[in-house]
This record gives sequence, C-alpha cells and structure tokens, in this order.
Amino acid sequence: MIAKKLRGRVARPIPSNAGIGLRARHYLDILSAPPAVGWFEAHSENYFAEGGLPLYYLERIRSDYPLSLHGVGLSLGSTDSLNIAHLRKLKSLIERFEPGLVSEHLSWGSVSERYFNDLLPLPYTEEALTHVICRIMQVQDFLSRQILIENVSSYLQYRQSTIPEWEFLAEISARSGCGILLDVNNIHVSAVNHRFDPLAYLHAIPAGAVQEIHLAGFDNSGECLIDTHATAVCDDVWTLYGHALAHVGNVPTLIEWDTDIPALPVLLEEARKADALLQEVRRERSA
Amino acid sequence: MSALRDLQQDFMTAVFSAKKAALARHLVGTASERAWRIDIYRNNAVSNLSSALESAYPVIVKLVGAEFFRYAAQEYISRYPSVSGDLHVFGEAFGAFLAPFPPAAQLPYLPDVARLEWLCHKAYFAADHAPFALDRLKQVAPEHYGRLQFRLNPACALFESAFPVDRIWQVNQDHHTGDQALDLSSGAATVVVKREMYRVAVNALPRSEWCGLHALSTGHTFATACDVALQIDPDLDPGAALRRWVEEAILVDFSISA
Repeated sequence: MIAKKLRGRVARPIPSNAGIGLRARHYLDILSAPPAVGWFEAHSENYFAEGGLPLYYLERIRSDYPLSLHGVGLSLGSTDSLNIAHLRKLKSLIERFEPGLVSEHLSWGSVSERYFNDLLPLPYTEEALTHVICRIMQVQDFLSRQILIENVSSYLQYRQSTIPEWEFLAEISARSGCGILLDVNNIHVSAVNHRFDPLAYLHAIPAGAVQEIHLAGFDNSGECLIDTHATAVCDDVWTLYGHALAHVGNVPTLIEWDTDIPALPVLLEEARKADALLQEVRRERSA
Repeated sequence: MSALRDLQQDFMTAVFSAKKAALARHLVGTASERAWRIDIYRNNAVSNLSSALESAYPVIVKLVGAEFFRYAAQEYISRYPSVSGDLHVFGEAFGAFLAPFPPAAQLPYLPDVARLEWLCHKAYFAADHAPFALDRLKQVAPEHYGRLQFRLNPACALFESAFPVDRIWQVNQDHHTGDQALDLSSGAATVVVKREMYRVAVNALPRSEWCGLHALSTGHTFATACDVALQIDPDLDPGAALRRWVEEAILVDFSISA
C-alpha cells in the first residue's frame, strides 16, 4: 500500500506510445480491467474540485498509469490579466498528481472577465506574438515548469494576421521555451478550412520542440470542418500523422474523443493503430 | 486600447450580443462567409455553456423537456456571463433566473428544484472530510456540552422550500425505481443534501431537527440548537438527534466556544 502510494507521487514520464483521453464514463472500466495503454490525459479543469469522485478516480488511475494534464480554460491569449485563481488550482493539481506533461492551447477564451469556454483563434500579429510569449513565460514561471502549447482548429481568419500560424507557433516555442503539442487533426481541419498545405505547416515546426501529438475526429458542417472530437480519426489525418512521425520521430500520441464518447475498446483500437505507426518509426530509426 | 484587445472585445459582442459587424470587419472572406464563420463560434460557446447547465440540472431537464431547457439555457447564458474557465462553476444563478422567468410561471416549484440541484452539484465536488473525532467528543465534560459548536460536512447542505422538492428530486433520479406518486400540494420540505460514498442524496428531515442543524451550521452552540429544535418539537431527544447527525456524517467536527 505504501509502495503504491509512493509510486503515485513520483512524476512518471509520458512514454512514446499511445495514450487516451480520460473520460468519466470509462473510470469503472479502466479500474476493473486496466487496459494495455501507455498513459492517460485528463482535462485539468475536470479536477479543479476540492474533493469527490472525480479526484478519487484520478488518484487511482494515476497510481497505475503515467498522466498528462491538458488545460482548456486558462485563456492564455486573452488581454485580461492572467487568472491567478485558475493558475493556483492548476498548480495544486500538478503538485498533487505530478503529471509527466502539462499543456495549454494557443488560443484565448475570455475578455473583460467574461468567458466563452471555447478555444478562440488569435490574430497572428507581432503584437499577439509578444503578448502570448510573455504570458507563456508568466505561466511557466508560476508553475515552475515547462508547458506544451497546442495549435487549435480555426473556422475564421483575421485580415490583420501577418505571420503564418506555423511560424507563429515555432517562434513562440523558440522564444518562451515552451514545448509544442502538435495536434495533427487541427492542422488538417484548419488546412482544409483555410486552404493551406498541411505538409508545409508540419515541416515548419521545429521537430525537437514537439513533445506530444494529438489525434481526434472532426465533423463536416457542409461549410467547413469542425473539430468536434466526436468521431474516429479519419484516413487523411492518419496519413498526415505518418508524415508528422517521420518529421518529429517517436512522440507520445493521444487519442482524443470528448463528445458522443464510445465504449473504451473503440478508443483502445484507435490507440493500437497509433502504436503500430509509432513502432514502425521506431524500427526505421533504429535500422 | 491595443488592436488585440479591440478585436477580443468585438469577438465578445459578436458572440454574446449577436452584433457581428464589428468583428466581421476584422475577418477575411465575403460578407456571407464571415457571417457563418462567426455563427460557428456563437454556436460553440452557447452549446458548451448549455451542456454545462444540462449536466448540473438533470432534474430540471426532465421536468421541462429538452427543448424548453435549451431555450431557458440560451436566455440564461445571455444574461449571466460565465466568469470562469472551469465550466463546473457555471450556472449558480439558474434558480434565481427561473423565478421571474415568465415561460416557467406555470411551474412555481421549478426555481426551488433548481436551487436544490445546484446544492447537489456543489456537494458532488465538495471537499472530502476526515472521520468525526468521536473519541475526542467523549472526553468533553458534560458541563461543556452546551458550548459545543459543530461543523457541517462540506459535502452537505440544508435547504427548505414551500414545495416537496425532496420528492420531486427523488422521483426524477435515473435510478429511482420506487413509488412514482408525487403530491405537489403536500407542502413544505426541510431537506439535507448529503454526499455518501461519493453519491449525492437528498433526504427530508423533521422540521425540528432541520432547524437545530441549521442553527449549528450557522455557528450557534449546541445549547441554542437544542432550544430551537425543542420549541418546534418538545418531544425531540437532542442527544439522540446529535448521535444520528454524527453517525450520518452530517456533522464532521466540533469545537468548544469560549
């Protein structure tokens, strides 16, 4: 019992294989028959509570698996001052669960203290670049650790943008010291929506900065692709993922499925597909 | 004001006030294209907030139906901004919003059911507590009993209503299999919301006990709580009631007032 407790307190690195997003409907399945999956990723805000069942389950799952924490509500790119209450909760969650990775989004989600509870795109300007770099450095300083920043899907473009998103992301990482969480599905969605070459995006990303990859499903509204996380990963995204692995090497890869969540085996099958591609890259690189 | 802040303010106006012109002038594309692109973000924000309300208020959803709930949620979202990146704290004022909401006037108990559901929602996420220090309580000399003050379990709440909200809540639980009968004219309810083994329950308490507990929960001494409870029910055994409250973990700690 003590050994188990101690093990849970040591930060366990996220292995370079597939993990899945932790959702409440799978808690019991995971605990009753721990699946062969490399790691779990939890949305930080789902565990901001002071107590209760979600924290109980996270504690138990954390004692058996490496964990990464993924924030959706920090509103990093907002021009409001940083929400310190939010950061404090994140920090105490990090102290309690010792996650292998902590990530946030290259987006904003609040202004004048009103929250959209959504991941909104930033204009890619010099002003926004300086602002976001400064904010990431503040957050890393507050948390005393590096964070990863994820590219988001977008459904609109600003006229004032002067920097391609891929350059913006690369520059942020170079100047703030943050890592990159490369969401391959988001690259695909935005590439289709805004008609750019996803491979050009991919190859502009500094390979050494990428510490995690996200894969998910999207929906087609007829007018554009929407990043819903409500379906399986599509063939185009698997292909792009193959290119991503060729560029960045073996990187922990997360299967995200957050809406219309299927039974656990469906997610494990997606993870198995990612693991097969990861293994191929491992073989090629060691050959 | 910075260009970035300007744009973010315009985004807020477009999403929450449906005035798209200011944001549209920042965007690439034809006029109609810019309009539907903004609508995607408007729909996303409203649907995220609406889902958060739905998961905090499952009984209200059952009582009014999904369509009416979505309409009420939209109105609530436009009047009560979300002030946190954590969606679990959104929706606190839904009961207060429903009270003067004309379309809900036919269901006078609705605001209280919503208030009760919010207490359940809070109890679900509330802090865990250490077991009651019964041994320490046994060491208190009898002459100090009157000065005892107790702490309510952080995952407990007391609620009273002119309507039988406990029954309404119970018969609308997914796992409820018992009697479905519900007499809306059965009058007032005094209830305790309590998390047991991580599951939230709503139970009626006799009015005398409820008032005694309420006195304790607002910092009054055990002596005052006994006075309050005995005025309502002179036959109540306060010692036995206290034991029940401790056994059921409604009270989790105590101190002796100076």
